[in-house]
Amino acid sequence: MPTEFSLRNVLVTFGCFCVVGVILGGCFDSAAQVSAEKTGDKPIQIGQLLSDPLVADPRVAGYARATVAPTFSFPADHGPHSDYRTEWWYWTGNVTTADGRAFGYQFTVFRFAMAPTTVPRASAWATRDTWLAHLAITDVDGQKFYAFERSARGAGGLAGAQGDPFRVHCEGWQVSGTPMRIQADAGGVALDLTMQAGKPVVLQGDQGLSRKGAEPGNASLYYSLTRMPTTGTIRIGERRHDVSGTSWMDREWSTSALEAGVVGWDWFALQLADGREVMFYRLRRADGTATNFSGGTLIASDGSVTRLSAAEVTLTSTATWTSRTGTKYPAAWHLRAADLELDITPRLPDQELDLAVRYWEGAVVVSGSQRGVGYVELAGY
Amino acid sequence: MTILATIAWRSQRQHPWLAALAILGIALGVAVATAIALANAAARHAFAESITGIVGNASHQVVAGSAGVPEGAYAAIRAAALAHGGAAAPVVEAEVALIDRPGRTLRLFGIDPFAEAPFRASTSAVQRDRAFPLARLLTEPGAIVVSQPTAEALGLSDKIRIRHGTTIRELTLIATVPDDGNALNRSATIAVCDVSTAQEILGRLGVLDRIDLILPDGEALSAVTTALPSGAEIVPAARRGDSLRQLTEAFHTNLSALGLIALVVGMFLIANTASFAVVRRRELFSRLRAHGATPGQILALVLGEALVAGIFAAVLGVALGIALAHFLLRLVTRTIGDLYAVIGPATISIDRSIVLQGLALGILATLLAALWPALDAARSAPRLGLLRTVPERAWRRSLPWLALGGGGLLALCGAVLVGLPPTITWGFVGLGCGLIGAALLVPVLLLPVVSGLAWLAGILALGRHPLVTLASRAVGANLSRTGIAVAALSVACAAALGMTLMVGSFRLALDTWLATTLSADVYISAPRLVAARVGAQPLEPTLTARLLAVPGIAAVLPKRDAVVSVTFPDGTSDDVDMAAFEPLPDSRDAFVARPAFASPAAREAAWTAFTGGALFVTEPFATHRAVKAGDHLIVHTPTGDQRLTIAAVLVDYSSDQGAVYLHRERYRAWFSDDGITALALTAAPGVEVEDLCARLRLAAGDAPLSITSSRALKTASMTVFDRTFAITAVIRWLAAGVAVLGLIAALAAVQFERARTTARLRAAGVTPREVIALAVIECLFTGLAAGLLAIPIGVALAAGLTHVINRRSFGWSMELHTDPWQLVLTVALAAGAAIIAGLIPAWRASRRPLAEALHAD
Repeated sequence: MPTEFSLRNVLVTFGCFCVVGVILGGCFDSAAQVSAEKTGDKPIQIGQLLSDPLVADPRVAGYARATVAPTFSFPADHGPHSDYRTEWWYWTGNVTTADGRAFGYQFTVFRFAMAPTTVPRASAWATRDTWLAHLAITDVDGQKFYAFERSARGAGGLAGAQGDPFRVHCEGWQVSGTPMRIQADAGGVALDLTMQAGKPVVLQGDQGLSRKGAEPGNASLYYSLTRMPTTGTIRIGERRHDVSGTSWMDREWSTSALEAGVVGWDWFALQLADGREVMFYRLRRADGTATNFSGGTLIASDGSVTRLSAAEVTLTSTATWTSRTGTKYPAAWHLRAADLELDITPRLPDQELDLAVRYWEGAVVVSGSQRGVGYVELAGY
Repeated sequence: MTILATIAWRSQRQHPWLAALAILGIALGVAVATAIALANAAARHAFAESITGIVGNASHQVVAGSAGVPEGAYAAIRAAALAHGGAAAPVVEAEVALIDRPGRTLRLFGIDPFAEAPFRASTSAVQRDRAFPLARLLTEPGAIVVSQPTAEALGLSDKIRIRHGTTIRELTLIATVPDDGNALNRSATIAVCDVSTAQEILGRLGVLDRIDLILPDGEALSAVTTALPSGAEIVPAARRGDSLRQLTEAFHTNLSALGLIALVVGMFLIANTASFAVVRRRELFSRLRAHGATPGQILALVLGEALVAGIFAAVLGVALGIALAHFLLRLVTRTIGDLYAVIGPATISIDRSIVLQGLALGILATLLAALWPALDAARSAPRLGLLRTVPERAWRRSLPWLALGGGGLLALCGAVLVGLPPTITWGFVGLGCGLIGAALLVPVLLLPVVSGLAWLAGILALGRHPLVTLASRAVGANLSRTGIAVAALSVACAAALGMTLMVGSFRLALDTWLATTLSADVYISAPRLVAARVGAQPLEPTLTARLLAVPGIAAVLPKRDAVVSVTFPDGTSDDVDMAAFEPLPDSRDAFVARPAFASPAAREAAWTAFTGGALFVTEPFATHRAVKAGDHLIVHTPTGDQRLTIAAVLVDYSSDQGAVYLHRERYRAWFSDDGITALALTAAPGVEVEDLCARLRLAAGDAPLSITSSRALKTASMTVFDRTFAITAVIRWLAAGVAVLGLIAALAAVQFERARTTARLRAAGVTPREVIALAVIECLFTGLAAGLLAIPIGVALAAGLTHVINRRSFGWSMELHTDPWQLVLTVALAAGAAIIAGLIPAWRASRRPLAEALHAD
């Protein structure tokens, strides 16, 4: 899903992918509160840590490639896969207070390897991994969107991950334990949410091998927990809100995935009122058409999985919205798949993360043949 | 007024070189003062840049002396800082020697690129460049980045061999970044690397040299404080720069004061020239007064002349000063490098305020010096001025006032030195009062001294040679014209003598101290890059073992130099130098306490306390930190805080920053550190020290060690000392040069004035040769008198410099050693200068056609 693409696509699209890029620098932890102006200095960016997908990248050499679906094992696979170049832990969710006040949240941790192998080093500060984390909260009733990022080396207790007991952390933000608990705060807002596993693990693509291109190895290993019952608190300024709702976890790791010509993607994770979930991503070319490697999954309430090919899903954008940064995003959609006719609307128009990498990722509500909630990511605009 | 100015201009034109000499004199004074100000400013600037470039925007720092902050504490400290809106960044850094560029160093600056941005614009700018190979910097062992100018200046290639302590390593230059004009790049030769690389290269595994912090408020400060590990403390970042700055400030103040001496001597010169110009034209002024000129017009006329001369002199002086500054700067930066810290290349920038100060100083000094002669001229009565005896009488009448003024200033000097706070500045004010007071007394004492000399000459069986009698009387008769010049010469000679005696005493004290302190035969350490503030790098244990296995060693004294964090009785904390060692029982004599131990029993008690964990501190430490024997210091150690008594204050000239001494056993226990930074060895009986050194060097192999016999070490120490005082010698001689110029002007003027007298003598049968002899004898008397008067002033000045300035600046006490040879030399110098000054005009007077000279009568 999204971010892998982002590594590559943003590179393509913005030239300087900074993105995910690790971003050393000034804006760490700087509040990118959307309501606040953020101009000028971009943080230091290390686009070079990430390769340009258009050319054969020697830096891919030496890393493991996703060619066959492995046998997943948990909780070990919740931990890091250092043989691969990139990896992320992705949580999004829609939660409400007892009196109906709605929030959306996103918490993501990325790992980027800077070298395929570890040179023996004496210093405990030596590392080949760079870590980056994004925290975003959508205060629907307050009409505010908050986004922050942090980055650190994978050493010195500053950032890292392990499977058993589970923990992934970056600069004081972390998700740990079973059930998983997110703890992160910045700029006066904070998340403290506990997520039950809920439905069984969904292996995306072909038994967890999610192909993103024709060339063997241009794929990722990808699984999800699609409906995680969530309780906890969200703090906005001095106010703490006790909330409950559902979260979605995506785990993905790869060495290379996207193919030439892909400039971005739209990714949807929808939780429907009838107990089903839909995941769909559309890989976009520059002319706006989707590649054949777009696709998705329909998860039944009992957890059984149906793959959705690009041809089986019709996605139409019905509105647009232009951000402060001048970027024009689609702002409403109609999605048709299987028996579903869904209208998807952002809870706030402005859920753009204007961080070192600029993208839109926000909470949405679903209406039409089924009601529901979800998250959408728009990259490469 | 126009006609008056024309008259004045014409009368000056009769003696153009007199005016030229006066202008040159004051110009030299201004030049020295300006040059010192410019050189000081440039050195200070370079120094400040070196500090701020590295300290960056940090508001606080976590430090733990040379033991370092345990790296495990960083994550918690950073989390605490971030949680309160602050920032934290680790630093591991050290100066390393470039093996392929002998004498040049590179500051290896290890940082975490992820945490760096809020702190140092420059290091983060390095990374902002998209082509920057950040992944290599983070993952490649030994990878560094330097600025383009640094790479060019040092001629760095891809592979750079460096030495740190006794370790030699190879670094890889992975990129150069363009000079973006920031402080870090401009002022220092810094190599940026990842903190992991710095730890590996510098042997600092497991620790950080410091953690830089930005803490927005007290809440953040207390949050971070609770996360501190044992032995670490949090200090305001500005303070670390400050303590370094304060150390060099004494040095700068002393230089400035030396510059002022040159200017004061220059002022005497102007006063002398102006006064002579008035005396010489007394008839003119009287006639002008008789023709209706008012006293105000005469005053304006003389001051106007002085103003013109002052402007000329000031402009010339500033121009000379700028040229001289470049030369002085080299001496200044070298001394700072020797004594304090490596600073980047300093360049003279023409600071407008310093230039204006120099101009103002020159003009004001000239006007001030001319004020009294101008008032004198304005007072001259319309007719009386025609009588030669009047000015001399007036001068003599003013002698009691001079005596009173001089005595008053001397009393003020005593009051300032004793009564006011013991700062360096007040010390110089006091000494300045004393010096000017003494100068005022010189004319008063001149006549009795010359009479005494004449009497002495009589006794010395020159008989009552008429020339001797004539000459001695002439000195008295011409006092109004020569008095100020003689005073200037005396002051200049006294200043030179005072400086020389102080430096000599210092040198002797150091020499004696080295002789007793260097009681071992061979000293071994890693070559040090700077004299101070480096937590020295321990010798590799295998290397130490190899050295100690060399045959012919009778005894070994290991030493650990470290930097430790200390809290003082007033509650403030700072990093201080510590030497941990265990003296051999029979080398205890080498340690002299000040004040001295009351009894051998007290001495034994102090040593027993030291062995038990008490501290010794050096004299400069006691002075700068305002502590004394019996006080307590809290030493922060990794195993907890230790409250330790100061058992004694010891004489130590090795560092003006001072140090604390701790017994090595205690150090090892509290700091869990067995490291040895230096070894002192005693040769077994019958073993030649040089042979032992040779064997040790052989055993050391390739390890870059400094293995020095005590004799060579002593020589090296004295070389640094002499280099340090080279700059004072330069300034001393400049001041003396100004004085000699003044005297030449004054005596030449006298001889020209006396043309009539000379002509009458020659008409009465005195030969030209005898005329010259007469002048020489007269000048000799004057010079001898000036020289003799300079002796008490110089000795008093030396005492002031030794016991007041040196002590207040550096905290060192020492005996004043009055070298008789220097006294003789001073008198000879004054007499020689006076004779040279008088000879030329006398020779010309003797050659002047008799008729012409008589006609002038």
